[in-house]
Amino acid sequence: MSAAPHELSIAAAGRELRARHLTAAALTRHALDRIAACNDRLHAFILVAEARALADAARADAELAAGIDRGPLHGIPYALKDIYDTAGIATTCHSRLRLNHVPSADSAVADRLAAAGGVLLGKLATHEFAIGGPSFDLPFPPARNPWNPEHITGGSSSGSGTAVAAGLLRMATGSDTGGSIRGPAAYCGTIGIKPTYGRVSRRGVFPLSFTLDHCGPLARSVEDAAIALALMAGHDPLDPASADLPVPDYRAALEAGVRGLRIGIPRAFFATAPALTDEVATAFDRTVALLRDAGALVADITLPDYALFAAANRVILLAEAFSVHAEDLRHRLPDYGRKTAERLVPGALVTAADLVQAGRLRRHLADAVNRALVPCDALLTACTLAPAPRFDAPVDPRAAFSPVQTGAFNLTGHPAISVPIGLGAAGLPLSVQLAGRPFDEAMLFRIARAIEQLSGWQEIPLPTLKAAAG
Amino acid sequence: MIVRRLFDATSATHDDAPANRHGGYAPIADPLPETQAAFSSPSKRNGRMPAETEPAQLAAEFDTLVVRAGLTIPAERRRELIAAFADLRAEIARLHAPLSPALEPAAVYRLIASDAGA
Repeated sequence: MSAAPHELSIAAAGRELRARHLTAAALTRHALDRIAACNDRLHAFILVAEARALADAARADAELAAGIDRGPLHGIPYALKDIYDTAGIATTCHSRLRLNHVPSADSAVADRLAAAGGVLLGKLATHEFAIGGPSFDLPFPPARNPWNPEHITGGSSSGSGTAVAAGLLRMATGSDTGGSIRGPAAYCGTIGIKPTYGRVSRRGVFPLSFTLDHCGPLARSVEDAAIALALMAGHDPLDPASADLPVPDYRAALEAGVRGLRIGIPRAFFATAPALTDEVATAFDRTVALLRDAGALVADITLPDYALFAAANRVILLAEAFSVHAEDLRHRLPDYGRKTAERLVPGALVTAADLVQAGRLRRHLADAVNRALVPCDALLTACTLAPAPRFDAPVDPRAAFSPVQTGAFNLTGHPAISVPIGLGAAGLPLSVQLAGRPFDEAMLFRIARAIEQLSGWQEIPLPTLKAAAG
Repeated sequence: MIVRRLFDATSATHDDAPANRHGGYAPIADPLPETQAAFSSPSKRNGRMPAETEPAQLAAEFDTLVVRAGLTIPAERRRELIAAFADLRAEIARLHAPLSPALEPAAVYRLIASDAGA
């Protein structure tokens, strides 16, 4: 084994474990040491569950030695965004309001990953309740971007993006209500997939917006993400939105390439957006050229104005989020971070007519995306319109000016994935976004894998811990 | 009972907004013409409101809706929350383009007969 343990893909580490060239205990110790070396600077982890991790690793080693093989995650370290319930381990939502909350049961995803033999390293930073932040008035500091800690990670799955990009682990869970997986994935240079609504159980994950929340992974590579989603996905009768559909082998067609695939670009989504930077536009066009050279049939398509998607998403999100937080906002408003309150309180001001109108528009827009995907295998669009901004240069989060164009597919429920395509002039990651037909995440992985290869992203070294540690 | 005084800087007058925290009711007593318009004008209540609203009018609407929701806003957070409200109102206006009456919300669902017990 020549590569450092954290450089091994999940599949490669699994081969090393089964060949007895590596133990889960050593892999876990390596991860814990890397976390210890940089977490004071990057703040990816709220809680490092060292004892649990070492116990998980010892169990995995014993089981593998005894011929018990739980599959591709067996003995592999991972971590959970701190809105995923973990039995006996605090789940704070990065909030003063839930500092002492210790769930009695695992979330469905935590349960699945534990059953798959994964090694839980701990709980990851998030924007408060998956909506506030990045904030400095919360009980934990905000996660920082490993490529440059003066820059934000995006949110709300901020610690997940940081941990994967810093090479602390290969996969982490996130949640995505308006882009909270794909945004940090794009800013941090990881893969981030928001699967189809209903694909992954939300049970035991603190809700932000019932009809917009999606759970999914952030991962170092497309293959890692495909493995992670396959383990997270599946029917859960206790989640009322869970889809009772089989989960395919997402790795089966990963290397099939893009020749003959039809990819539509809703260019008006982003081409005239005020936040679009020249380097993102140039990198996007370069990606299109690479896909065409590889045999994809790429053409511009028309969808309704992105601002309509964003507005409907925001109104529904805020109204549903207020229904979750109303009692705490009435009685404990000062305990929320300022940014969180600033985003939650307007939900009280949405009228019933506004919400119904957003729901009507939602159906109209979902139908439009469905129609666009009849002749297309996938849509290609921008994800973040600029590289990650600095902490001291906050961006306007309003939908019309937002530098992150992800909420459209939360509104419509279609699967969407963020794929890094290179580094910008400041050394920060740039990315694109693919969206696909309902429950056809396999197609997104296939195209994303092609982009990963064509862009050479995996050959770009991770930011070093030395630099990240300042 | 909560009573919130809403000050209109333009006319230097005020409204009193009593509200019931538990029931969520907030009738407007002695409404100013400007404030009343913000709540009753069909052109505004259907969302096609002007992008720019007088700051005092916006603040009055905010205060009343906040009371109706049972929230108590700390004074030091009021300004930023009114700004967020203004932004949201502008976005809501985008939603109110004419739609066919036949276009139903995405939340309309169909029931599937269960074979349980069959």
